[in-house]
Amino acid sequence: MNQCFGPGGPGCLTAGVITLDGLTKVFPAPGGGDPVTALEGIDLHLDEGRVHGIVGRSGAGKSTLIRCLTGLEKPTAGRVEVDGTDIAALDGAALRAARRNIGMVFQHANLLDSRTAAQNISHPLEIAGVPRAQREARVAELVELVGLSGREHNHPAQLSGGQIQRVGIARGLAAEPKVLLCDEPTSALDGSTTRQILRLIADLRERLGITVVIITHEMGVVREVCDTVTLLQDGRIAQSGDLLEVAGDPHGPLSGELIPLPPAPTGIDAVLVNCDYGRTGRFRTSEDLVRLADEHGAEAHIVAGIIETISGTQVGRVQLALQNRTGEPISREGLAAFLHELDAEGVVATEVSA
Amino acid sequence: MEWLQNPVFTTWDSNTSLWSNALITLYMTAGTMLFGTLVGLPLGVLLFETEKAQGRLAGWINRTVGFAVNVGRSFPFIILIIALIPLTRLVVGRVTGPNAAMFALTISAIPFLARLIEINLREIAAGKIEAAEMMGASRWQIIRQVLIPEALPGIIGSLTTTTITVMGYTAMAGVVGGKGLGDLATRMGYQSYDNVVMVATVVLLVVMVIAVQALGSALARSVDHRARQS
Repeated sequence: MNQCFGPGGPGCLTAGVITLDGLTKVFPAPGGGDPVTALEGIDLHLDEGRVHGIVGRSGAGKSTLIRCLTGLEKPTAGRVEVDGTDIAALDGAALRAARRNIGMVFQHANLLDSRTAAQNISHPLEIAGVPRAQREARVAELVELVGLSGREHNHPAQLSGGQIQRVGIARGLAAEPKVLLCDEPTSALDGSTTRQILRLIADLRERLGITVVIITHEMGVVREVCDTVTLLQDGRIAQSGDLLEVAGDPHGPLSGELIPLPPAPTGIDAVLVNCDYGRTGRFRTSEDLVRLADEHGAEAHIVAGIIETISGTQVGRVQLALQNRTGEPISREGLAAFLHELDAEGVVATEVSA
Repeated sequence: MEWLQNPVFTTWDSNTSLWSNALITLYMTAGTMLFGTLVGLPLGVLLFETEKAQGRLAGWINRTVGFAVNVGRSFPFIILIIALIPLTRLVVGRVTGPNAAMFALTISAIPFLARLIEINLREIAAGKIEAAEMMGASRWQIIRQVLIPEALPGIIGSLTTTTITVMGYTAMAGVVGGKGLGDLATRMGYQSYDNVVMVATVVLLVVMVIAVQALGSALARSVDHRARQS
């Protein structure tokens, strides 16, 4: 599977800013058991200037992927190209120089407690040997950019979780990298702070044209800021594509996770059916589903559901309660016909067993 | 107030005086800490760095230094002083006096300090070091810009602890004619049945230890910017 996002289209020849080619990482098992395959044949092109989400459960290989991208881990096989440089082939000083092209944002920010916010932001520049005057000018700029004015001389212990992550992001951007890698940047933050940080990331992409890769297990993060999304499962790419495409494909493994269904309603005497619809032919809105039930002589109520409109296309997961006109649950035959018709049109419909 | 007339208070002769022996103790302690830190701190960093590194050389260095540190720490100090006499003659030029004692003290303080510093460095969250690595920092930059500043409050604590331990060890410096408060208490107090000398030296030692601890704690606090758990 060769994934290519952006203007080049499928199978495009223009390499993205990040290109993974057959990336495989096998860890020898401690104690000499079977080796563990963390990543297996990952092919991925991530285009410039977009926000890419990489999602997966813990153990899916997300952390290994990010460690391979930064050269902390050498791949067993395959290429890791960032901005035209094969990171996997580098060592020593060349690798350190290449790393300066990659900004990194961590889950817990990993700021140094001994430094103030401004000194933390300036750290990558110090490492790169930038003269003091230039460092100070750049730090002032970054403090402004991430909205930390007035707090730059505080130590991390005096900052809130959201402010700490702003410092982390500013530090990641300090050396003007081509790529900003964010490893679970919001997983340690509360809801409203998460939204602020995501807005900041989206804003930075807009203003700086930087390529952002966000590794996360939170589907909300993907929905909010990502242009493309890649699902890792057991070290392989299970699904990958533009967010709309992936979310709108009710058959893919991601749509269900991107749009989670609220808990099933209780105390209803009806047949419950879950319907996932997206970019399918006849059924474009939830009303279409209700109308179809009506054609089958049943009454459908939407009892739970999430409906989102992503770039003008409605994508939803709804739970329908089906009853016949007399208020009884509908017959098995009626249900089968209803489900069959939905299925034929690309809507994933399943009966919820009580 | 007859006890105030005791030669321990009235003389300046280092055979009897509390004051000159206090200065000798301070001198030996300060000198030991100076040379001990110059060697012990880099050794602690070396132990920490070679622990994580994967190379064969690093493993060998780590085991060798670790072994030397363990041997150094297990030697009873009084035996160490005697055992070191030939080396002391070579390095210091003479085998008696405060400088000779200081040499033995330094040799015994180095492994102690190196271990404490290694422990201080281990307390730094691995993510901070990794973050610096990902910024493209060299090992040397990580040591100077991350390890030492981040562990500084702990390192100051270790230096304080070592200073106080060394102060206690100076009591045994008398074996090689090193003098100092411990030696005074043993010779003039314990062996000569002079309780005034005993009490005076012990009280002065307690005061000095408290002062060193207070100074160390204040210094550690002033460089500690971590969140306080209160």
